[in-house]
Amino acid sequence: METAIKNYENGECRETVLLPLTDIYETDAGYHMIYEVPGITRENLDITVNGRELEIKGNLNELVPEGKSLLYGEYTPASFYRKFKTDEGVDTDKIEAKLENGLLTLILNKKEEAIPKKIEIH
Amino acid sequence: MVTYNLINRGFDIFDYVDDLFNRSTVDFIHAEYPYVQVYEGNNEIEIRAALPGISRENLKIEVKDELLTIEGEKQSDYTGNTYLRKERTFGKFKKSITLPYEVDAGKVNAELKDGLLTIKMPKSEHAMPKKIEIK
Repeated sequence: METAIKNYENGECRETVLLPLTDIYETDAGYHMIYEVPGITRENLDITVNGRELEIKGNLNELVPEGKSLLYGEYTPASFYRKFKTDEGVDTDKIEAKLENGLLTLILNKKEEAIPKKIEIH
Repeated sequence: MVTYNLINRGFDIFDYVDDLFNRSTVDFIHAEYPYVQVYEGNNEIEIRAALPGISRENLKIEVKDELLTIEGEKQSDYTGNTYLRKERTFGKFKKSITLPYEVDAGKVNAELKDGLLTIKMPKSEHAMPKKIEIK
Protein backbone atom coordinates (compact mmCIF):
# COMPACT_ATOMS: atom_id res chain seq x y z
CA MET A 1 0.00 0.00 0.00
CA GLU A 2 1.17 3.43 -0.82
CA THR A 3 -0.32 6.72 0.20
CA ALA A 4 -0.96 9.57 -2.15
CA ILE A 5 -2.92 12.76 -2.18
CA LYS A 6 -5.88 12.68 -4.49
CA ASN A 7 -5.94 15.90 -6.40
CA TYR A 8 -9.23 17.14 -7.73
CA GLU A 9 -9.29 19.00 -11.01
CA ASN A 10 -10.40 22.25 -9.40
CA GLY A 11 -7.72 22.01 -6.74
CA GLU A 12 -10.16 22.80 -3.96
CA CYS A 13 -10.58 19.49 -2.21
CA ARG A 14 -7.74 17.19 -1.20
CA GLU A 15 -8.02 13.78 0.33
CA THR A 16 -5.43 11.21 1.34
CA VAL A 17 -5.94 7.96 -0.52
CA LEU A 18 -4.21 4.59 -0.67
CA LEU A 19 -2.90 3.39 -4.01
CA PRO A 20 -3.60 -0.31 -4.38
CA LEU A 21 -0.64 -2.24 -5.79
CA THR A 22 -1.57 -3.50 -9.23
CA ASP A 23 -0.43 -6.17 -11.65
CA ILE A 24 -1.60 -5.99 -15.25
CA TYR A 25 -1.07 -8.61 -17.89
CA GLU A 26 -2.25 -9.05 -21.43
CA THR A 27 -3.69 -12.13 -23.07
CA ASP A 28 -4.97 -12.52 -26.61
CA ALA A 29 -8.54 -11.94 -25.44
CA GLY A 30 -7.98 -9.04 -23.07
CA TYR A 31 -6.24 -7.47 -20.12
CA HIS A 32 -6.24 -8.80 -16.58
CA MET A 33 -5.76 -6.39 -13.68
CA ILE A 34 -5.15 -7.55 -10.12
CA TYR A 35 -5.50 -4.94 -7.38
CA GLU A 36 -4.58 -5.46 -3.73
CA VAL A 37 -7.43 -4.03 -1.67
CA PRO A 38 -7.32 -5.59 1.82
CA GLY A 39 -10.42 -5.01 3.92
CA ILE A 40 -12.63 -3.96 1.02
CA THR A 41 -16.03 -5.61 0.66
CA ARG A 42 -18.31 -5.69 -2.37
CA GLU A 43 -20.63 -3.08 -0.82
CA ASN A 44 -17.98 -0.40 -0.43
CA LEU A 45 -16.25 -0.80 -3.77
CA ASP A 46 -17.04 1.36 -6.78
CA ILE A 47 -15.75 0.62 -10.26
CA THR A 48 -16.62 3.21 -12.89
CA VAL A 49 -15.83 3.46 -16.57
CA ASN A 50 -16.04 6.85 -18.18
CA GLY A 51 -14.98 6.77 -21.79
CA ARG A 52 -11.50 5.28 -21.58
CA GLU A 53 -10.98 6.10 -17.93
CA LEU A 54 -11.31 3.29 -15.46
CA GLU A 55 -11.68 4.35 -11.85
CA ILE A 56 -11.55 2.18 -8.75
CA LYS A 57 -12.63 3.52 -5.40
CA GLY A 58 -12.92 1.45 -2.27
CA ASN A 59 -14.02 2.78 1.05
CA LEU A 60 -12.03 1.20 3.82
CA ASN A 61 -14.42 1.73 6.67
CA GLU A 62 -11.96 0.75 9.30
CA LEU A 63 -13.37 2.09 12.49
CA VAL A 64 -11.49 2.15 15.75
CA PRO A 65 -12.91 -0.80 17.71
CA GLU A 66 -15.26 0.27 20.47
CA GLY A 67 -13.58 1.04 23.75
CA LYS A 68 -10.12 0.76 22.18
CA SER A 69 -7.61 3.28 20.98
CA LEU A 70 -4.76 3.14 18.48
CA LEU A 71 -1.43 2.29 20.08
CA TYR A 72 0.64 1.96 16.94
CA GLY A 73 -0.19 2.19 13.26
CA GLU A 74 1.63 1.39 10.04
CA TYR A 75 -1.06 2.13 7.51
CA THR A 76 -3.58 4.92 7.13
CA PRO A 77 -7.12 3.57 7.11
CA ALA A 78 -8.08 5.76 4.14
CA SER A 79 -9.93 4.92 0.93
CA PHE A 80 -8.38 3.06 -1.95
CA TYR A 81 -8.30 4.95 -5.21
CA ARG A 82 -6.73 4.31 -8.57
CA LYS A 83 -7.36 5.45 -12.09
CA PHE A 84 -6.14 3.92 -15.34
CA LYS A 85 -6.62 4.83 -18.95
CA THR A 86 -7.65 1.80 -20.96
CA ASP A 87 -6.43 0.83 -24.38
CA GLU A 88 -8.60 1.79 -27.35
CA GLY A 89 -9.16 -1.88 -28.14
CA VAL A 90 -10.97 -2.55 -24.83
CA ASP A 91 -14.69 -3.19 -24.97
CA THR A 92 -15.82 -1.19 -21.93
CA ASP A 93 -19.22 -2.91 -21.93
CA LYS A 94 -17.56 -6.25 -21.26
CA ILE A 95 -15.59 -5.75 -18.07
CA GLU A 96 -15.72 -8.56 -15.53
CA ALA A 97 -14.91 -8.04 -11.85
CA LYS A 98 -14.16 -10.49 -9.05
CA LEU A 99 -13.37 -9.74 -5.42
CA GLU A 100 -11.74 -12.42 -3.32
CA ASN A 101 -9.43 -12.44 -0.26
CA GLY A 102 -8.71 -8.74 -0.60
CA LEU A 103 -7.79 -9.07 -4.27
CA LEU A 104 -9.83 -7.40 -6.96
CA THR A 105 -9.50 -8.93 -10.41
CA LEU A 106 -10.78 -7.06 -13.45
CA ILE A 107 -10.91 -8.69 -16.85
CA LEU A 108 -11.06 -6.18 -19.67
CA ASN A 109 -12.12 -7.94 -22.82
CA LYS A 110 -10.83 -6.69 -26.14
CA LYS A 111 -13.12 -5.68 -28.97
CA GLU A 112 -13.58 -8.23 -31.71
CA GLU A 113 -11.38 -6.27 -34.11
CA ALA A 114 -8.59 -5.88 -31.55
CA ILE A 115 -8.12 -9.61 -31.03
CA PRO A 116 -5.11 -10.81 -33.03
CA LYS A 117 -5.94 -13.25 -35.80
CA LYS A 118 -3.68 -16.01 -36.88
CA ILE A 119 -3.04 -16.18 -40.60
CA GLU A 120 -2.80 -19.60 -42.08
CA ILE A 121 -0.07 -20.21 -44.64
CA HIS A 122 -1.34 -22.23 -47.54
CA MET B 1 -2.67 0.86 -21.11
CA VAL B 2 -1.64 4.21 -19.62
CA THR B 3 -1.52 5.12 -15.95
CA TYR B 4 -3.24 8.31 -15.04
CA ASN B 5 -0.33 10.25 -13.69
CA LEU B 6 1.34 13.56 -13.39
CA ILE B 7 2.35 13.75 -17.04
CA ASN B 8 -1.11 12.84 -18.34
CA ARG B 9 -2.66 15.44 -16.10
CA GLY B 10 -0.58 18.21 -17.55
CA PHE B 11 2.42 19.54 -15.74
CA ASP B 12 1.58 22.13 -13.14
CA ILE B 13 4.64 23.12 -11.16
CA PHE B 14 2.62 24.35 -8.16
CA ASP B 15 0.68 21.10 -7.90
CA TYR B 16 3.89 19.15 -8.24
CA VAL B 17 5.60 21.03 -5.41
CA ASP B 18 2.47 20.73 -3.24
CA ASP B 19 2.34 17.00 -3.80
CA LEU B 20 5.99 16.66 -2.94
CA PHE B 21 5.50 18.30 0.44
CA ASN B 22 2.23 16.59 1.20
CA ARG B 23 3.57 13.19 0.32
CA SER B 24 6.83 13.32 2.20
CA THR B 25 5.38 12.59 5.62
CA VAL B 26 3.15 9.70 4.66
CA ASP B 27 4.81 8.08 1.69
CA PHE B 28 7.72 6.32 3.32
CA ILE B 29 6.74 3.56 5.65
CA HIS B 30 9.72 1.80 7.14
CA ALA B 31 7.94 -1.26 8.35
CA GLU B 32 8.24 -4.98 7.83
CA TYR B 33 5.57 -6.76 5.80
CA PRO B 34 2.68 -7.02 6.66
CA TYR B 35 1.57 -3.56 7.77
CA VAL B 36 -0.33 -3.62 11.05
CA GLN B 37 -2.51 -1.45 13.24
CA VAL B 38 -2.41 -2.10 17.00
CA TYR B 39 -5.42 -1.14 19.10
CA GLU B 40 -5.73 -1.48 22.86
CA GLY B 41 -8.55 -1.11 25.36
CA ASN B 42 -10.91 -3.05 27.66
CA ASN B 43 -7.99 -5.26 28.75
CA GLU B 44 -7.62 -6.53 25.20
CA ILE B 45 -5.19 -5.96 22.32
CA GLU B 46 -6.53 -6.00 18.79
CA ILE B 47 -4.12 -6.24 15.88
CA ARG B 48 -5.10 -5.86 12.25
CA ALA B 49 -2.78 -6.88 9.46
CA ALA B 50 -3.26 -6.24 5.74
CA LEU B 51 -2.70 -9.58 4.01
CA PRO B 52 -4.34 -9.49 0.58
CA GLY B 53 -4.27 -12.70 -1.42
CA ILE B 54 -3.04 -14.90 1.41
CA SER B 55 -4.95 -18.04 2.31
CA ARG B 56 -5.51 -19.41 5.79
CA GLU B 57 -3.33 -22.47 5.07
CA ASN B 58 -0.31 -20.28 4.37
CA LEU B 59 -0.52 -18.34 7.61
CA LYS B 60 0.80 -19.16 11.08
CA ILE B 61 0.23 -17.09 14.21
CA GLU B 62 2.12 -17.71 17.44
CA VAL B 63 1.95 -16.11 20.85
CA LYS B 64 4.72 -16.58 23.38
CA ASP B 65 4.83 -14.48 26.53
CA GLU B 66 4.65 -10.92 25.22
CA LEU B 67 5.61 -11.68 21.65
CA LEU B 68 3.23 -12.20 18.75
CA THR B 69 4.63 -13.70 15.56
CA ILE B 70 2.86 -13.68 12.21
CA GLU B 71 4.52 -15.96 9.70
CA GLY B 72 3.47 -17.02 6.26
CA GLU B 73 3.94 -17.20 2.58
CA LYS B 74 2.35 -15.20 -0.17
CA GLN B 75 2.29 -17.47 -3.15
CA SER B 76 2.97 -16.00 -6.54
CA ASP B 77 0.07 -15.93 -8.98
CA TYR B 78 2.18 -15.00 -11.99
CA THR B 79 1.02 -16.37 -15.30
CA GLY B 80 3.05 -16.88 -18.43
CA ASN B 81 1.54 -13.82 -20.08
CA THR B 82 3.16 -10.51 -20.87
CA TYR B 83 3.03 -8.15 -17.91
CA LEU B 84 2.47 -4.44 -18.43
CA ARG B 85 2.78 -3.69 -14.73
CA LYS B 86 4.19 -5.67 -11.84
CA GLU B 87 3.84 -3.92 -8.51
CA ARG B 88 2.81 -6.72 -6.18
CA THR B 89 5.41 -8.75 -4.34
CA PHE B 90 5.43 -12.38 -3.23
CA GLY B 91 7.39 -14.60 -0.91
CA LYS B 92 7.85 -15.68 2.68
CA PHE B 93 7.47 -13.27 5.55
CA LYS B 94 7.77 -13.23 9.33
CA LYS B 95 6.96 -10.39 11.65
CA SER B 96 7.09 -10.22 15.44
CA ILE B 97 5.33 -7.63 17.53
CA THR B 98 6.09 -7.00 21.19
CA LEU B 99 2.83 -6.62 23.06
CA PRO B 100 2.42 -4.11 25.88
CA TYR B 101 1.51 -6.89 28.33
CA GLU B 102 1.22 -10.65 28.60
CA VAL B 103 -1.87 -12.13 26.95
CA ASP B 104 -3.89 -15.25 27.61
CA ALA B 105 -2.64 -17.48 24.77
CA GLY B 106 -5.62 -19.83 25.19
CA LYS B 107 -8.14 -17.07 24.48
CA VAL B 108 -6.55 -15.57 21.37
CA ASN B 109 -9.03 -15.14 18.54
CA ALA B 110 -7.85 -14.72 14.94
CA GLU B 111 -9.97 -14.12 11.86
CA LEU B 112 -8.98 -13.68 8.23
CA LYS B 113 -11.59 -11.91 6.13
CA ASP B 114 -11.32 -9.99 2.84
CA GLY B 115 -7.53 -9.98 3.07
CA LEU B 116 -7.54 -8.43 6.53
CA LEU B 117 -6.37 -10.40 9.55
CA THR B 118 -7.81 -9.47 12.93
CA ILE B 119 -6.25 -10.90 16.10
CA LYS B 120 -7.90 -10.28 19.45
CA MET B 121 -5.84 -11.05 22.54
CA PRO B 122 -7.21 -10.64 26.06
CA LYS B 123 -4.88 -9.64 28.87
CA SER B 124 -3.68 -12.57 30.94
CA GLU B 125 -4.93 -12.99 34.50
CA HIS B 126 -1.62 -12.27 36.18
CA ALA B 127 -0.98 -9.15 34.10
CA MET B 128 -4.18 -7.64 35.50
CA PRO B 129 -3.68 -4.93 38.09
CA LYS B 130 -4.55 -5.97 41.63
CA LYS B 131 -6.22 -3.67 44.06
CA ILE B 132 -4.51 -3.54 47.39
CA GLU B 133 -6.66 -3.11 50.43
CA ILE B 134 -5.46 -0.65 53.02
CA LYS B 135 -5.94 -2.00 56.49
